[in-house]
Parts: sequence; C-alpha cells; structure tokens
Amino acid sequence: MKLQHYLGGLEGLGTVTFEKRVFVEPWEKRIFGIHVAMMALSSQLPLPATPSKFNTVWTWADLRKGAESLNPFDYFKFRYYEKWLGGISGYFVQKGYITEAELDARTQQILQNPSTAGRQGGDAAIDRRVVTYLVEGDSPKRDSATRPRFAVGDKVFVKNVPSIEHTRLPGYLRDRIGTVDTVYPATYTYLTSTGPDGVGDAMPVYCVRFDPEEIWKGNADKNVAIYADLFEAYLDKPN
Amino acid sequence: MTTRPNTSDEPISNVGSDAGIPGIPGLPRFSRRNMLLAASAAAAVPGIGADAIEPAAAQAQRFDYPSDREAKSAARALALESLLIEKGIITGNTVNTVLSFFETQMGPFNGAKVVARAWVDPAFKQLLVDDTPAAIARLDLPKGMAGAEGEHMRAVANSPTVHNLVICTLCSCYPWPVLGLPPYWYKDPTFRARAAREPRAVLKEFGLDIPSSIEIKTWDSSAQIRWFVVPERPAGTDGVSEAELAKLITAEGMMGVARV
Repeated sequence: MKLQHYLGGLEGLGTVTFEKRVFVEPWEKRIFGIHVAMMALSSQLPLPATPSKFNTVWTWADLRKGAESLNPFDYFKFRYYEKWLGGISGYFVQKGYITEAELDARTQQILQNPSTAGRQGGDAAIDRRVVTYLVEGDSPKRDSATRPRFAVGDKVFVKNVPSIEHTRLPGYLRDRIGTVDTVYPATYTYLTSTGPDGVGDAMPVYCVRFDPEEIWKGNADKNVAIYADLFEAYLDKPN
Repeated sequence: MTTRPNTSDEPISNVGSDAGIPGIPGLPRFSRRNMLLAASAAAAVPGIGADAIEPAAAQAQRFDYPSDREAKSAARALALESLLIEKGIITGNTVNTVLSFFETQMGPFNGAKVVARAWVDPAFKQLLVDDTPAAIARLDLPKGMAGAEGEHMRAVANSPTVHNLVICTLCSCYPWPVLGLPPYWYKDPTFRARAAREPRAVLKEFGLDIPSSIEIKTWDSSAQIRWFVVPERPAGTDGVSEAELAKLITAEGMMGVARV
C-alpha cells in the first residue's frame, strides 16, 4: 500500500496553506518548462520529428509514478516542484542522456558562479513542436465498439485492485459502492499500462457519485456528494 | 458584491510573482541521498526506492532543514537545463517559450471570459454545462482550448442550492487551457486529503462559509476530465459589461474555493 494513493480522507494534517502562487521560487519555472518539453518531444506522440536528441517516452504517468513511489515522508516533506526536479533529473540520468557526475559538476559550477548557467542555441523546430503539443494536446479518447457495462443510475462496486506501482483509483473509494452519474461517450486510454491495476487500454469511463457519509461514517461533512471519474476496469456489479 | 477573501488585489495571472515564500513550511534538505531516492523512484528501480530500509542515521536527518535548500535546487535546475541545451535535447529558448505560452495563451484569463459570457448569456451557460468544449469553441479565445490538459473539460455551475469544488486527490489535474497552471494550495497534499472528507471545513478556513443547507459537490479529477466551476454572478452587477465582469473572476473562484 502506498500512502500517496490514499491521501483522500487522511486525518490529522492541520490547516491548508492558501498559497495562490503557481511558482514560489524562480527555479521551479525552469523544471516545469523542461517537463512540458519532455512531454511534447516524447517519442509516442504523432507529431513531426525534430532534431531533438530526446527519443524516449515521458508522460504524466512517468512523473506520477516517481511521486507515488517516493518514501511517503519525502512525499510530504518536499514541495511539489522539488519532487519534479528529483524525478526528472533522475530520468535523464537513468536513460543515459546525462550522467550524475555531469549534473553534480555543473550544479557546483553554477553555485560558485551563477553566470555560467546560460546556454543558447538549438533548432527552432524543437520549440515549434513544444507549442504544437500545447495547442493540440494528446486526447486519450478512442472510438470503439466496446459497449459500456453500466448505465446512468446503476450502483457500482469499486474493486480493490492490486496497484503495485501506479493507479488512477483513489484509495478512499476502494470497496465502496457508488452510483453512475455520467457514462462518458466512446472509450479512453491511459498513458501507460498500470499492469494488474488494470488501466491503459481504451475502455469506458464513468463519473460515479459517492456519499461521504458511507465512506467516512460519522466523520464527514454533511450534505456533500463526492464525484470521481473512474475507468471501467475499477468497477464491478455490487453483490 | 460579496467580499473575495485574500484575492482582491491579485491580478489574473497563472505564473505569480517570485517574491518570498510566505506560508511554505520548512526548508528540508534536498540531499544527494534524497535525490538518488527520487531518481530511483522515477526509474522504478525495485528495492532502492520506497521499499528500501532507511539507515538510522538517514532517518535522524530526515527532518533537517539546511539554509541552502533553495540555492541548491536552483543550481540543480539550471544545471539540468544547461546540460539539456548542450546535448541538443531542448533549445536555449524552450523553457521561456513554454512560460510565455502560459502567460499569454493558456491561463485563467481565458476561463474568466468563459464565465463572464455564461453570466450574460443563459443559453451559453446551459451549453457550457451540457457540452463544455462546444461552448468554449464559440468564443474568440487563443488556439489550444482543447489542447494540453484541456482535451476533455467539463464545467459545473454553482446555484443558490449547490456549491461545486474541484480537487485531485491523486495528483494535480487542472484544466490548463481555461485556468493555466495550478496554484500551490491545489497541489498541497493537506488540501487534497482534507477536501475529500471535510470540504466545508476547508472552505471555511479559506474564508468561504458555505452554510450546511447548501449541498457541496466535490469533483475528484481521477481520469480524463478536467473540471472547472462556473461561480454565481455577484449581486449588484446588473449593467456591468461582459469585459468588466471578466475582471472579477479568479482562478480560485473557478475551482470553487472563493466567491467572486
């Protein structure tokens, strides 16, 4: 069990910091921009080839897997973009684009003399592809003859699937019964196969309504309905 | 017009300023060990990541907060960017191109126009709720309104009896084309954990008191849909132009944590 899959409903956390900024340190913008570029240059996208040397797959699933597999204490300890910095630099090292020694040496160099950080140049086609990705997106919607198992108003039971590495099923909904509120048209892939967890291939997706009072008996706000978008692989008929 | 808690002076911007870090707790160590931990996690190397047993000495240092945390992260991020440029993976303009895109093309300034139109045009509001992409496509907005993280958006409208709140308990899913990038409160694990079980209490802490007679609908973004909220039009704005109305609308209002 990974705590990160079970955040919803976790108690004892105190007041939320109502920090409305997106980036709280200038460096966070750099790692965000690098992540978007990686997603845009990722090799599975049907976009025109560029001279970029990036030739592997990087999607949200890779970033999320990294965060979900962190030691949970680190997950709470590190700020959002610190986790990105760790995961993304680790990916470039692991895939052999750079070495840990190179990154350490350049980091030390910049710490000693910040003006050595800047680099220029590169083929503009790379940046054009990045913008094309942002404008066109990467829809997971797929036409399919698959008919949805459930209809609006049906009761559904949420399975407790074995999510070893990565999941799109919030922990607090596992083993609960909800009611189908929307059957989304067509079918939807997920960015990667989550293995025994069950998503990846195109399948129907539902918006399912839950009563928090049934999830957290006697310990939830009243007059609340909670809705979650759930892949069909996570759902079953109630007994 | 009701008071907007803590948001009245905020420009509609999705990148924010760089000044200070009020309220961000702690400055924990970003040590080489943690870096490797994160690196092994991203690479999903079995046995080195979260399942490894932590040496006692490392456990004792877990909550150390050295003062060079930000300087080290900043240097590390710049080092990574400069190496990626050198090796021909990205260009010297790539990161700035992305940031500029979110300052001018994808941001809450788009969502504000969508909501303002919904306030002045009931038929548009109905279409926005029934078929969000079709409604948004009718407006003169930048290209990319069905682009990254907006391929499948759904709008939900507040009413005198229902208040909507958008969350993402697993990560930070957010409708980029209309709202830009998520603010820190939305990504905060504490918010994500508590808003699921006690949204009314969390909203009250944010300065938004939703009486128990009003139903709260909480939308957890766990698959392809990216949700946003159409807040109610403030009282006393009759005769205010659509363009002026758009200036009242904040990202927080369109996520359901602030009144407009």
